[in-house]
Amino acid sequence: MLAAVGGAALLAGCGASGRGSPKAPATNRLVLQAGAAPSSGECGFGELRGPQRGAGGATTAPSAGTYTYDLSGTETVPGTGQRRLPATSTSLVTPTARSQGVSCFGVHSRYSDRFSTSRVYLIRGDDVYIAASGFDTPNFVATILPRPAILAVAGAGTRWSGAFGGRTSGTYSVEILGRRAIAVGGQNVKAVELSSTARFRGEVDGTQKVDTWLAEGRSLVLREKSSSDLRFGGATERLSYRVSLRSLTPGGAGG
Amino acid sequence: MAEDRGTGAPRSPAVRRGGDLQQGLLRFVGALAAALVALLIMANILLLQLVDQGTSPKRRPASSAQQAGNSQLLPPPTTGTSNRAAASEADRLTRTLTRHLDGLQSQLQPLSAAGASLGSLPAATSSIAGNLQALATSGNVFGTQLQSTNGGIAITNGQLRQVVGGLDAMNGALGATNATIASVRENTSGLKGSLGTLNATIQSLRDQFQALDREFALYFRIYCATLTPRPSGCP
Repeated sequence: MLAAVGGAALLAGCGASGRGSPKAPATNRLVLQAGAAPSSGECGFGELRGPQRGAGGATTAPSAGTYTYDLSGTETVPGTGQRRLPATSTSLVTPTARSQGVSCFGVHSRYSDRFSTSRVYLIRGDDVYIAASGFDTPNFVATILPRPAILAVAGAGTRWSGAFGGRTSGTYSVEILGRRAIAVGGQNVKAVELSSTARFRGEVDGTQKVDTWLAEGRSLVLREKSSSDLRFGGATERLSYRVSLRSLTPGGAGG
Repeated sequence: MAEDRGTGAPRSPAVRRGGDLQQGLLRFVGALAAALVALLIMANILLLQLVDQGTSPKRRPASSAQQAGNSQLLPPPTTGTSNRAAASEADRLTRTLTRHLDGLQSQLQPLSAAGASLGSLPAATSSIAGNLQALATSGNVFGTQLQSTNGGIAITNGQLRQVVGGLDAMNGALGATNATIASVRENTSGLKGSLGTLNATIQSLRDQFQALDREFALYFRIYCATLTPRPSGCP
């Protein structure tokens, strides 16, 4: 039923970073640049073992550019307490790189002047994976490289789960809850609702729950509700938000 | 004693019975309207569970990857019933159901009008009112069952059968009402016109519900035939 949904729910919008990685170490930061596809290394293309073939194959990356969302929620940072998020957030989608049957694109989402996340997605057939997830918060910067990559959207099945290793390891489970049309900027878009939970251990500890409405066949988040409770060292950072896409047409030229 | 609003005059038994009938009709229409909405929602989600349970992605992400030393970038691709195909099938079934429901909706209008015109029926119609009350109850049960399937995607075969059972109950109530109307009509020539309309409407409703019943049977056949491995509960 979920004809080729794209996008991803897991990890979307965590705010956090790596234990013992105080703000700044450039090596810990996942950097996505406007107008440029993620590098081959960021996509993990070098780790692919020959040409990949996935079922289906019509899922595409969203058009590159900057998407604007209505935003509500709060962020809690140790030392500064809770504060309300601004009224809008932006997601920069990079152009897509391709190799061995796999498409790769990045999304950098900014929720406030203090919190942002970066993710690198891989698409194989109708399966969409998260190959890298970066967090940038006032206190920490971290990048999780889950191996195997997290299956964010499955081309078959309505429930799945998995585990990944790395400096931050963890488990996740995802369920497709429903399917309906959602109005975005005056247009009705067929969308699929995914509910996901992820648990992290290692550099990043904690839990994140995300409920996402994704445009079918386009890896684009239309609406999302997320709450994350992540610990870095002894500090816990919380981000809780709802976003709703204003327009299907991105601004800018690839970020 | 109940009084007619506005006049203060005592309500006659005949009027009260007519009111009961009208009230029953209105409840029935309300219950059906709720069921229509629920059916549309259910049509949209029903096929989701086709790929549930029996076809959870066979990807073994964690175990296989971890056994491989976590060095593998991508886990094996998902297999099983394609979500894309299931979505397409759900859209087709939704269109089919919508046609039925549109037909039902058009039938509800004259039914409601017929109910309004029966405000002063003689005592003989009280049994019709009773049957319509039963019909409304069945409709509510039916609607509740459908609504409950919307609460989660994990609709079970048993729930599907309950839905079909709800349709059967409504068919039964419609049949009983129909029989009563036929009986009343024989003895009450003055009401022939309006009861004839009601009768035709109810017959049409029966046809519509039977068609829906067949649709659900079709869903169940698809549900059982499409999935690999075959879920428990399938024949």
